[in-house]
Amino acid sequence: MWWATAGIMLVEGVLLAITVASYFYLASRNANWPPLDTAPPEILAGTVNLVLFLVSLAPNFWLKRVAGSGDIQKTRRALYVMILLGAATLVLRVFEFAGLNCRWDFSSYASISWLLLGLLSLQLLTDWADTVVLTIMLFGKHVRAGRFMDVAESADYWNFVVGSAAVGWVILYLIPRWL
Amino acid sequence: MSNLAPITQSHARADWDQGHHNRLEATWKGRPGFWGWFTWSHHKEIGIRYLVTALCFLLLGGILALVMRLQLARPENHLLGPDQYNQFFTMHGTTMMFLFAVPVMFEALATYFVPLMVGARNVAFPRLASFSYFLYLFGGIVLWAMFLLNAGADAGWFSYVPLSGPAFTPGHRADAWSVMVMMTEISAVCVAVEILVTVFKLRAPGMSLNRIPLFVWVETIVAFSVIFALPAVILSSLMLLLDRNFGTQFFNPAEGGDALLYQHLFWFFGHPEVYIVFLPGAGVISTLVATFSRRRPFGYLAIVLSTVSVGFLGFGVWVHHMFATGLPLLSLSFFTAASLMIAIPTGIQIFCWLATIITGKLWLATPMLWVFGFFFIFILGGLTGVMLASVPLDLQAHDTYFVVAHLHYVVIGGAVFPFFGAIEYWFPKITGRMLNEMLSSVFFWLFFVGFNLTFFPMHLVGLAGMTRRIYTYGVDRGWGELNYIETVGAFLMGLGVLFFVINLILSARRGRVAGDNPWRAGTLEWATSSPPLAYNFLYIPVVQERETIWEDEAHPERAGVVTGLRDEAREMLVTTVVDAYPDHRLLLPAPSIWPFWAAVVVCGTAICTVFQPWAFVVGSLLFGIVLIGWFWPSEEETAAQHKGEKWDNATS
Repeated sequence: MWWATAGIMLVEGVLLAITVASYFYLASRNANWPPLDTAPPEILAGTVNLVLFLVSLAPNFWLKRVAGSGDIQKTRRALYVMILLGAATLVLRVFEFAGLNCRWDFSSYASISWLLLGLLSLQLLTDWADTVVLTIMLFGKHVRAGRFMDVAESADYWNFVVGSAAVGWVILYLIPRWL
Repeated sequence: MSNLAPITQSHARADWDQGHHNRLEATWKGRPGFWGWFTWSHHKEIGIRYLVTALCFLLLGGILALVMRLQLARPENHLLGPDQYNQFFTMHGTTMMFLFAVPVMFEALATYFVPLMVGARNVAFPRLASFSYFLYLFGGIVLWAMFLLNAGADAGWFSYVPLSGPAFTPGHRADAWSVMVMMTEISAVCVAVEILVTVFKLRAPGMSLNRIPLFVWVETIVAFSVIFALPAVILSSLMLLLDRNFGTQFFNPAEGGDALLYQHLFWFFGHPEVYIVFLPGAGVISTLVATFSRRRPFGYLAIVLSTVSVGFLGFGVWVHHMFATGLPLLSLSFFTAASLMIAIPTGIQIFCWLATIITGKLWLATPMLWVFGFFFIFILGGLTGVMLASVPLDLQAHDTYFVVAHLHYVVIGGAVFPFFGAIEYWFPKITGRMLNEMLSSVFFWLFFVGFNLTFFPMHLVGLAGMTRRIYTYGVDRGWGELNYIETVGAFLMGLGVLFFVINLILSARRGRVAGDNPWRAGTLEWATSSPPLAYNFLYIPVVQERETIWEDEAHPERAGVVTGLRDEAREMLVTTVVDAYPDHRLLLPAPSIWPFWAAVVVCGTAICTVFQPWAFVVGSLLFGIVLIGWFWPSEEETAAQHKGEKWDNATS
């Protein structure tokens, strides 16, 4: 199962990398990035979200440890924390979209920014939903040793989600201010 | 310590054990019945589905080509109008590249043969394999349905912007193309992940990395290429869909976009794509050359390293498809050099194959005809490729039939010839019967002669100025005679393929019974029955050397099998990555219909989103529900897992 998670991370990582490359390509084709009639994205929501992501690494690390030890009570508690944190990041994502200061059809800058944020948000949403389902599966008759392994790998995947979010933050919030 | 029997190696020759066979059959066999068919997730069934579907697309794409050739046979012909012709060449290229070449060379052959060649009972993610197949099938059906409704994609097989953008292609023609591309390429990426994990973790014990067959090496490297290349076209198709239907400006220069972004993304995929198509062909050649020279391949390490080099270098040459777009000189020079460099590892492989043949005992069976055909055709294509890699020549030949000639020589020579050789070679394994020798020979010669008659004159007519994608040409051009010859050649090829199809159908029913190993080959797929039983191997073999069968024949006292795996559960042995030491047991999930429904939901969502954006939200929710169904464990699975676990009360 680790290999499946690694496979997903590899594929999504490549997709993200190519999207980022496209972002820089479009930036290189424009004298002003963002265009003069578009302000850079509001930094508050995105930065709070980034901090939330980074803070979540600690309970995530704890989750992986308790899942590896097979302690079902502690694993469930750690999962509740991760679900709450995940929900908070999702809510903040909505504010991030609003803070982009442009509709997706204004310019190529707007389009690529929405696409990047959209792909990252889709990744976040699917992982959050997966975490919820895994939590449900830790109740009832389907509990088996492999579930703990699934949870541990999900924790690894969350690290990847945080890494992607950090890269996204740099691209979306810092690059328009630097270029 | 688990409750199960320990896994050991037995040095006794594995005798037939009817009880063991019965239990394995019951465990691994697919569910019967109509709905049962949709649940099958065994690699052999999925592989056959890919093969048959891809062959159907080959025939459809071929028919398109024959009609195009009829249109071009005479100047100022009126068989097809310009709009129809645009649809025809777009559909021909798209079908051949996306719906035939990659699915057959990579997905079909790898899914069927890689588990057999590494001594596994199934691929690593069987439900994903089923999902991938149905996604591919539905993508192809969507594309062809639109074509048959006279709303087919018509902007070329690569669908460049701005032609395919919202300004110049209204309606949903290019959307169908984009949807198909996204679905089939996601399907290929899924298969790539399965193949990688199967090769790295599910090999038979003792099959260290330096003992895996060359075909498996090649498919592994191709799987890596697929993972790194295909996301680029998935992204470019997604961007095209968004530009066309949601008002985004990725490719609109007026709003800061760039049409060349599309070309960069497409060709960053497109060049590795042709290596994804060619390298499995090279892997087939390595296999056939070894078997029919009665010796192991010469230069195993050189061939592996060359394949890796081609895989890497393939990512560094994409701009040679864009030489005429006005890029800076430094960029052009770099990509010329890189494109020329690819000839080196390719040449190394060719010399290794020649050395194998020369130093072996050649058996000129029918599959070898295709090998020699490959040498002739592919090398010619490679030579024109080196010519086109040079910018000054490319600027003259770009968008002429010279390029059409080159690409058909390399793709048909490099992939289709080896593919037909692979069918000749592996048909006995898949069906248990031999193909008819006479029909096979007639097919080969018709196809070989027809191919050269069709595509060699295209070099000349291209250099004489005939451009690509024109539905007709004037009488005064002087291209009429060569085009007529090309059409005759195309119909010879078509006739040959007809013999092939007849041969497949007749031989599958009434061909000579093949036996386990009619070619006396050395790799593991020949160490089991023809066709293989549902569970592949009665006992997983322990591997001591590369060509396991030949090694076991030479040293029978060292042959061994694995004992201790359960036969009442879908259990496989996971081994370490490099040396294939036994690592742990793996329980595969049962066959399921959820992958089929998942593919239906993805296809439905993709189509509906083109017409109504909110369909994406609804479709995603549905997909989430289907995924939960897919992963939700059954009672049977949980019970099988529990049997292998020992629980400490403190943690339960």
